[in-house]
Amino acid sequence: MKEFKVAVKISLRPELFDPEGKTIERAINRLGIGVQDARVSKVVEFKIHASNQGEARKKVEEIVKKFLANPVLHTYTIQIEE
Amino acid sequence: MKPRAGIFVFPGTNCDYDTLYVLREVVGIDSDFIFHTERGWSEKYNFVILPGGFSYGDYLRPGAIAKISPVIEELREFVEKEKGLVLGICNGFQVLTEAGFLKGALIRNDNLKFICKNVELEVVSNSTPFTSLYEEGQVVTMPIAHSDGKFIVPEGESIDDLVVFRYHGENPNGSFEAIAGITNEKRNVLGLMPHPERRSEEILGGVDGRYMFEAVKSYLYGLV
Repeated sequence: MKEFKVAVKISLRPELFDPEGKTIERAINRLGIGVQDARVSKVVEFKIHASNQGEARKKVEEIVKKFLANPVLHTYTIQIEE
Repeated sequence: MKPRAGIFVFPGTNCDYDTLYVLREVVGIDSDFIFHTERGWSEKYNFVILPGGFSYGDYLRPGAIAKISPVIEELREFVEKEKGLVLGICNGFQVLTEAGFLKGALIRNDNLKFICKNVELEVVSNSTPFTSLYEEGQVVTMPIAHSDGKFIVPEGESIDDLVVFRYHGENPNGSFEAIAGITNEKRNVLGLMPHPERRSEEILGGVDGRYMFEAVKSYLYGLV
């Protein structure tokens, strides 16, 4: 069994309005530096034990689908390092 | 059948006592709490309420952690086998959408604010066991108190037949088609953001919410 470091990034679907991102975007613009389309995501990090990268990814996918992301609301990306 | 209500209590639930009080003292239904780790409760109750609050501190997102608790696991069979009625109020509605009992999802209000005030609601459907004592098109008043009450559905998903309440006049949180409450296809589960238990006595401003519990009581006694 090896230990893998996992980072799951959960983002609101692009078609959904993100009021927090919009508020941050307006605030950044007050600094005098123009930015567009600010969005806020959440990153959940954890460690997991598996015999290889493929098995680790399978476990993480299950966690994300059952729990961490809501398919109505989110897209996600998974990063796994040994 | 004699109505017997169970109120789910998660860490962070805070409308449990209000709901218990209204059911027991105002409406007169035998009621108890069901702790989130309990099992075997579904044989004892025919009315389950998921009350308002902040289950698990709204960590991850509202309702997300509650949806993988033991009581929700048992609730799936309860709903599937139509053992009784399920009402989710506010955070309870969020738990029901997260767990997939109801379509759609609830996200942050458009104005980012926690909105706590009375709102007017249109009763869109009275053909549910929860709303049979209202007239269709009737406008009722109930309080809302939430940050994450904007109801959305994936594009292309049809829920027209499932809408039970819409905000009337102002749409306070930006909900899709001003939807405030929906049911499932079997019509044995209702979720809504407004708080009927906070509008069940004249001394608190009115009794529009009480009719929902009275309707459930009549339904379970087999009167409607």
